[in-house]
Amino acid sequence: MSTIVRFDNVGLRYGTGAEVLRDIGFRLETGAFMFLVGSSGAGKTSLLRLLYLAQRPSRGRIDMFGRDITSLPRTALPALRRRIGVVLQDFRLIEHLTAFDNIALPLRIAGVHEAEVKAHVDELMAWVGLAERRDARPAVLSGGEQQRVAIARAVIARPDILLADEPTGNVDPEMAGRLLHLFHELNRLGTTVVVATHALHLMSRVPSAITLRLDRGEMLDPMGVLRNPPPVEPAELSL
Amino acid sequence: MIAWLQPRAQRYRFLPEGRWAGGALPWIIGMMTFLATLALAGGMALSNGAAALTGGLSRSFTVQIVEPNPDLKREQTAAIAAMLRARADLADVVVLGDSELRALVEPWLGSGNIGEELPLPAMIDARWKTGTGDMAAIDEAVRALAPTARIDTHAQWFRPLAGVVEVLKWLAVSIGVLVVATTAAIVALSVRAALSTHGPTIETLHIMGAEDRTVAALFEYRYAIQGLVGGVIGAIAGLAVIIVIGNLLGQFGGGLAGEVSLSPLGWTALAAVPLLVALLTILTVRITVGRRLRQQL
Ligand SMILES: Nc1ncnc2c1ncn2[C@@H]1O[C@H](COP(=O)(O)OP(=O)(O)OP(=O)(O)O)[C@@H](O)[C@H]1O
Ligand SMILES: [Mg+2]
Repeated sequence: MSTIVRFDNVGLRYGTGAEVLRDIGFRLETGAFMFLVGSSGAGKTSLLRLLYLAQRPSRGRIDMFGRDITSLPRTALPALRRRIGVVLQDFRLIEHLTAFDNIALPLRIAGVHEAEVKAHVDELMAWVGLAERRDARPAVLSGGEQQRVAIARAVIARPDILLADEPTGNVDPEMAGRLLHLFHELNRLGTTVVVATHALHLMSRVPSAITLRLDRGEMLDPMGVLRNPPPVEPAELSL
Repeated sequence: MIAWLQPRAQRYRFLPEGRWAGGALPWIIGMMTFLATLALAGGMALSNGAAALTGGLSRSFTVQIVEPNPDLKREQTAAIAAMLRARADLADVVVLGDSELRALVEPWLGSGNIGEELPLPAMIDARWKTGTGDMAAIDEAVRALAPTARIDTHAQWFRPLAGVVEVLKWLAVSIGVLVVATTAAIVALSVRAALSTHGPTIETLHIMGAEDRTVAALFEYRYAIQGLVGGVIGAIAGLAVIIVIGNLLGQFGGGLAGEVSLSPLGWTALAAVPLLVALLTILTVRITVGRRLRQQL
């Protein structure tokens, strides 16, 4: 079992402000499912920004995919980003593109052949129940539909790691449960998943998940299990 | 637009269609190209003119033998011509005889009014093979043969004019440089505005692992088209004006006006202007977009 993410003494400050993340250190094994919890302003989005390579830490070291990303040149990052799927807190769908084209973005950026793009996107759209909304623009989609487009876009290229920021924030509890189920399914297929959430009641839906608690930029890990996590049970992966 | 010319990302419409910069940019580029074409043509024509003035025309000089006694005059003329022809550094030594000189002054005095008794000087034209040689030595040698002879160097007439032409040439070059810099600045401003309009889309593409050059290509394609359209419009307008001016100058006949002309190379340079404008646009876009993208990780 290999380590996909490793944080060592990571600190982050925006500009010259105070550190919004302090002394963050944890290991994430390939195939793990991690919840990132903490009150508003605790630093969940900031931690995810480090993970999807939108931000370099101001101190410490981050390894992803076995490489020290804090010392990698800028030009090496896009290739790593293509192995990461992201669902942002505000979806960030591209307004002038249809649902189909939005979901196809990561494949097209990666230069996948158009026939393959079409097959994959149509299949996934059917799977998340958006087949009817293929040519709809984000503006005419409901909040839940937009969220599903965002999630489909995050997973279409079969990323090695999936990051989701409050993915259940804007939907009713029933839809929230279904989305979490989708993440769980993907996790069972081998994708490492990190979900930042306020909805603590959802965490019981993924019994194998580990939890990283943030409190005003600091990690609450009294037992040190996150620094030295137990290996993921192979049985869970083959389910 | 022809599909295969488009970058892949453009075919996917990662950035919205529609007129950018309110559709004004091609016209602004067109006007700038018009000015640049005129400045370029003016600069090239003036530089041909300046070359002619400091070249062939100014290397000539004329010896005038003003001797009232016709026999003595003929004798001195022959001696000076022989002396000049003997020099290896001179060429085209031409003696203007009585009949040629009469033909030259006839327009002013009217035909038939020039009697044999009108004392005309004798003239000898000569040209230095390269540069302007030792005029003092010529002067001395000529005076030894004919103390009353005068030497006119053409350079002394052309020098102030050549100075003016040289200044005008550099003025044209400066205008051309300013126009190019202004065009690049306008394009850069427009690109910066577009970058902030499409900022969220670019950021999304970035997060999904788009390379800088993919994003830059979207902008380069858009702006290359606008640059090319503007360049063609401006160059056509500029060439039309140049051809009209050329015809007007042509009516003066030869002489200096004839020297202020464009070589085939000059015409080729003018025809290449739209392509150069498109290239300048692409280069500006690439630098502007690249700079912005490097601001984010
Ligand atoms: N771009 C930024 N510039 C400066 N400060 C920032 C920036 N983004 C976040 N912060 C600050 O960093 C701290 C952590 O913010 P962050 O968005 O990571 O919290 P969060 O846990 O995601 O909160 P929420 O649950 O409300 O989304 C906050 O104090 C916030 O004000
Ligand atoms: Mg947040």
